[in-house]
Amino acid sequence: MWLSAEEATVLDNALITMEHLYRSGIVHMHFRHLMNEQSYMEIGYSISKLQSFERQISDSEELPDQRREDTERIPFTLTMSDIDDHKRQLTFCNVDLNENMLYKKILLQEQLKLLRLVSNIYLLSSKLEMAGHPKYQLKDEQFLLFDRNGRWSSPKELR
Amino acid sequence: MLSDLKNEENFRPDRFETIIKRPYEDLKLRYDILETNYRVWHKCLEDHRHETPLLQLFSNRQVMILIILLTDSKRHETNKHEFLKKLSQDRFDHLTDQEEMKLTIHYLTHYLRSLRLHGCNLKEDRIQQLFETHKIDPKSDVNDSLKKLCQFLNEIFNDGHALLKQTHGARENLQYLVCPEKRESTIKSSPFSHELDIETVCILINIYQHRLPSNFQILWCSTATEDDIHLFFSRIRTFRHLIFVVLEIDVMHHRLREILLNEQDALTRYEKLHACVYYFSRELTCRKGLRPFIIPPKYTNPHSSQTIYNNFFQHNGWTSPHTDVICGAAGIGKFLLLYRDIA
Repeated sequence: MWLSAEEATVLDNALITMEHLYRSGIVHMHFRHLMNEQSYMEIGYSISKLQSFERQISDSEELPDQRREDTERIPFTLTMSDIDDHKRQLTFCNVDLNENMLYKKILLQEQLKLLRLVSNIYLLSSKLEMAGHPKYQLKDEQFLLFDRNGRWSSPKELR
Repeated sequence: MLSDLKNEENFRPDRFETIIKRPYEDLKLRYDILETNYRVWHKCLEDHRHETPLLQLFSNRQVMILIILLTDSKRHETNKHEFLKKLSQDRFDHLTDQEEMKLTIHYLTHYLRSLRLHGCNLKEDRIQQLFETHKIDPKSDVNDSLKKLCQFLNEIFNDGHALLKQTHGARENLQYLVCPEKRESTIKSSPFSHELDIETVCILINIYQHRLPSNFQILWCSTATEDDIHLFFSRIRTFRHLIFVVLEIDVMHHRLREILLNEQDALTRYEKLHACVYYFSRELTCRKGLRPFIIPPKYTNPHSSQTIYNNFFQHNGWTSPHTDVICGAAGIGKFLLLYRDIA
């Protein structure tokens, strides 16, 4: 996908994020209720430097990792409210795409389904944690959103 | 992404769909496992609570902490280790095995003492010995962990006989609605107004004439979860000779209040005998099965209540804690005084 920086709108941004999640998205869940701290979830993804363009480099989200010359990928993180925003934007996008962009629609709907399932997993794990199951306390979970053996997974390991 | 996919010669739409759906299928499996584990946990808890009444006296979170404490952990980076470090307020950077054992016994004793069962030996060496006998293997599943915990509790408390035997003069099978006096409604309610005011405390002391209530005998509705409410009512049905109290009904969330009232209704229709329950509320009216409690004037008298309280301590040979009352207008320096005294 190739967009010029000035014309990128919020909706197009959602499609770009969708693509990045398909390529390299990982869900991190941290459960901390045993220590009386807040449990939370976030999704991380990374963009390889060769593909990134000027607007994203000056984005406020970027982390200092980007400065290092030896890494090729810039990591990004979506917090729980960012994830909700992204789902909402995808739902709006769904209406805007016309019928002959069938594959885009499929990608979008699948991602929405996936993100909803991730939210449900987080809610159920939280319920297990609050109900006092001893094996589900203080857990750190990681789920891959991209298909490791598939066509679009990134070649380098993500750390 | 779509463009470089379409440029492949062997692009097949069905393979495309398979690749896209694969992460979803994997996560769906995880979700199903989580759901199964959730149901298994609740089922195990219910079964073990039915078999061992003592387990009903601890809430779900307390049961979890007891299991964690009772688990035998040799390695240092387990949940138990983190938990104990946090509880001891990070005084130690790294807990040795011996310190960990000491803290474990200390916190176990705290929970066991909170049941206030007389006549049980809760000395440290006995608890340590029972810990060695009943400790839980970290690899065991929830069913085995709960079984070991139940054996541990049964052995310490002699199967809970002290709670199940009849005490003199206790009334059974009655539910009372206690309506403390209506406060004059102020335009802006003070942020310091409490449900637990002097009148409620006096009534409580008079109701519990012969023993002070334990933690499990009171339901604090402002912080109770749905599981807590169901657990409380199962205690009412099991321990028929104790007295139970429900407080702070008026500040409950309406969904939880509905659950509470449904439970109260089910209790009314329960065919076997159950314990005596007092509901403290200014807003509830009498419903079926709920009798109004006529509060005798001496129940609300703070002085006679204090006499009862002091007599209770004397009778059991305990020294009552030394209390100082500090009161004054705002800004006078009460907190400063406290701070200086403690520090």
